[in-house]
Amino acid sequence: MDTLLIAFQNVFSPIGLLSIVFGTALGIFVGAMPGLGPSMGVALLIPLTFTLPPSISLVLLISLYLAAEYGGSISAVLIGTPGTAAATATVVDGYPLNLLGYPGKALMTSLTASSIGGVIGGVALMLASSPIADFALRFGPVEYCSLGIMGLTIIASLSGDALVKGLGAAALGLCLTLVGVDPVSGMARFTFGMYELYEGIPFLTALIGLFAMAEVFIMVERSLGGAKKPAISGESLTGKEMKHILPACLRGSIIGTVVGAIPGAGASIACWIAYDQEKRFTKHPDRPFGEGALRGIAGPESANSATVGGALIPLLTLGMPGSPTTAVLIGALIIHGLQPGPKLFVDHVDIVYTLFVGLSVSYVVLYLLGRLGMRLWVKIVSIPQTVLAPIIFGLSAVGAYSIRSLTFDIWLALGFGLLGYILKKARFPLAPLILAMILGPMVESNYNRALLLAQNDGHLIFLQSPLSVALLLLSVVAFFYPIIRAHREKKKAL
Amino acid sequence: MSISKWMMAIVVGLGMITAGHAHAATYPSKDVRIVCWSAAGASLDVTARTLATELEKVWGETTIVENRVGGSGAVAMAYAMSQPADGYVLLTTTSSLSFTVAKGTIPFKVEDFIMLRAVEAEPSALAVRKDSPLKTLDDFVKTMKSTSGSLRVGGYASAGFHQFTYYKLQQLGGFSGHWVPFDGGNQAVAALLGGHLDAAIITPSSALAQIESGDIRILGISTAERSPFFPQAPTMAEQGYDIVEYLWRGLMVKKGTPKETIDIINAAIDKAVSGEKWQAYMKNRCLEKVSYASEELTKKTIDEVSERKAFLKDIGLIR
Repeated sequence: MDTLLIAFQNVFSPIGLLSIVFGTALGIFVGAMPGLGPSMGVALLIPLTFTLPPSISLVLLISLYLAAEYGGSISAVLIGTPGTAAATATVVDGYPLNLLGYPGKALMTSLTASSIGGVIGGVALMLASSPIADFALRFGPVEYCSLGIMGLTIIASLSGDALVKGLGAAALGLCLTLVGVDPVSGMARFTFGMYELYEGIPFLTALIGLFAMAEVFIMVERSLGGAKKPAISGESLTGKEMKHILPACLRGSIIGTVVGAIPGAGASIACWIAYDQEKRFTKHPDRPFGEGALRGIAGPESANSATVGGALIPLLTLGMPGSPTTAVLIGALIIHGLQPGPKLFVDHVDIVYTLFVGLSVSYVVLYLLGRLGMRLWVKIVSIPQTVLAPIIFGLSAVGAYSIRSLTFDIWLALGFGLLGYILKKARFPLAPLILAMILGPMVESNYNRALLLAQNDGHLIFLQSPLSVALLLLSVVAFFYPIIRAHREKKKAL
Repeated sequence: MSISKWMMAIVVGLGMITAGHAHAATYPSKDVRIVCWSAAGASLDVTARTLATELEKVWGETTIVENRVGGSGAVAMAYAMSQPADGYVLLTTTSSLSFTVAKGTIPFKVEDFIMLRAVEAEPSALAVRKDSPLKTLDDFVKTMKSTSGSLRVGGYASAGFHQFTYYKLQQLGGFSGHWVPFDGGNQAVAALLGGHLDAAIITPSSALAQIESGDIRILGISTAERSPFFPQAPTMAEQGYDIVEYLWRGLMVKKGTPKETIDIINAAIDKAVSGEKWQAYMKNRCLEKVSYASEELTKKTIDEVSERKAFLKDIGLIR
């Protein structure tokens, strides 16, 4: 009990509260800026924490991490550009809802979902970390490969009526992931002699191009064409809408917690799985999916925030990172002389409790700061597009450059901007392309790894793990069910 | 002429002679940048940042770390090459440089740089799960021989440091086995814990919690003597397999940097790493001490390239 008291004293001290408010505000900012993300934010903040006590620095860094997962949705909703890789699914319904004149509704959904997701992920971390960690360890190369294949079947439901175009976009995405080091031999391929492409096409740079820059081109075209914008309504969520999104938040949070705890998966995969679930299980959405469905925002946003608690599970139970950001956090812990892992509960239980209490306070601060900032952010939408477009263009160029300090990346983003513009004009859905870029490397490297492990068994290895068989069966159902249903409905219509 | 005028003449004369070297003698007189080829937060980056803080205390000039990631270090190297060889841009380096050069994927040679110091190093270790029947390195080698390589072995990266350690073990033990490459050392540890691998070759600090709890056992470690951080772990050498390998991390500069400047930087690094702060950092992260003189390190890296080339040829990656 004494340690719990110390934890409360740590968090509710002036420096503790100040750290949470500062971390949250900074997190929302780095999350909302395309190119900056939670892992870069945490890494850049570490030197500042050297002079702070370890427990306070941990609380500061984690409040930043949590807030950045929400911050990504702000730019997704307002300018159609995911601020972080985990906010890509939020664009699909968040941006259309903004264009309909309801940016407040979209942002409020995202904030509510993020807070709920954060709380559920945090509760799972405090109460159920050891069974979840055991489950996560059951994922080896075979299971990762099957999980990736299941993820790819989401393309069928993301493509809607345009299945062929969706598959085309996905195939393009898979081809793009072939660039860079071969995961088995370690040798470069399709880099055309450019060492800038050695590690593959940087995912965030591609995102900035496909979303932000492409959106700028469309804005320019729209304002040249003199199209009128709909009137902006400051309306927030109604009580009925709140009730409508609640189940989506719960489902998303569970998905986020579990996927976040699996070290090889993460927030950028969790958000798509959650989106897919909502699309499948929502019989009567308020608006069609892809045109501003609230659950299409709530699912992925609760999922990406729940991954924070999830990713901390392997950190506390195994001393292992569950995500790129927690890998950086581990570095921070070690610098402070702490060894992440189960020993933390023995040697520094006060720090673990401070982390738990701090995490709980962070959600409250995030919600309050989010509400406070919302009025400001909604104003961004009322900026004339002729002013907004060059600002977004400038920010995208800076964002693309800042990832690796390479001018090459600005050109790369511009190239992806043109690609995104052409695809949008030709009515190709972008989501399957993004999903393929996320899952392609995961499937390819784990497929090869599984076959190396199988030795003489070959492909049979995929059927020897019950978890893998379950995932593959789900894939078959998930891929064919929407097609069969569409076919049946067509027949009925005739 | 009065004595004072004589003195003046001498001072002025000396001043003219040394004018050409003035920049070296006063190094550093402005900000020093350490260009790091790893992302912010990676092991190499943390080492660079900790060292930068200590160097700043030694020479009193602002010392900043800049991350230029990509191309297996080529992005950072290309940047350093575009800057004057005046010692104000230092580059991080590791023993992985010789792998990259051997693969021929970057447009640079080791000879394009001058190695300064290796400030810390980590070994490689063959690890198994608690319940594994294997107790010694000999057990492992015998099982591999009698079952023609049936054990599933893997670790971080393809054609890198840990696979090289495994390759050496295969040569000395006279067996051949597959290598399953993972994207990160901790993923290999997770695969070992989850029963997806029979043995992993890892940096021991990446499984610190499991080694201390006994969930993971080390069969052999590649240090010269028993590591102070893992005293229970027998070395590979003491079990008759002469494998002493370190992944070291340090600094280098562009070739053509004046010798005086290099001497000043080296002296500053030596002073920085003998300080209390640095020692505490090494202890916290389980980093081993290594000491190579500048020329020795450059020569060692060049020699390593041919050793790595032989390895890459053997596993069929280069011709």
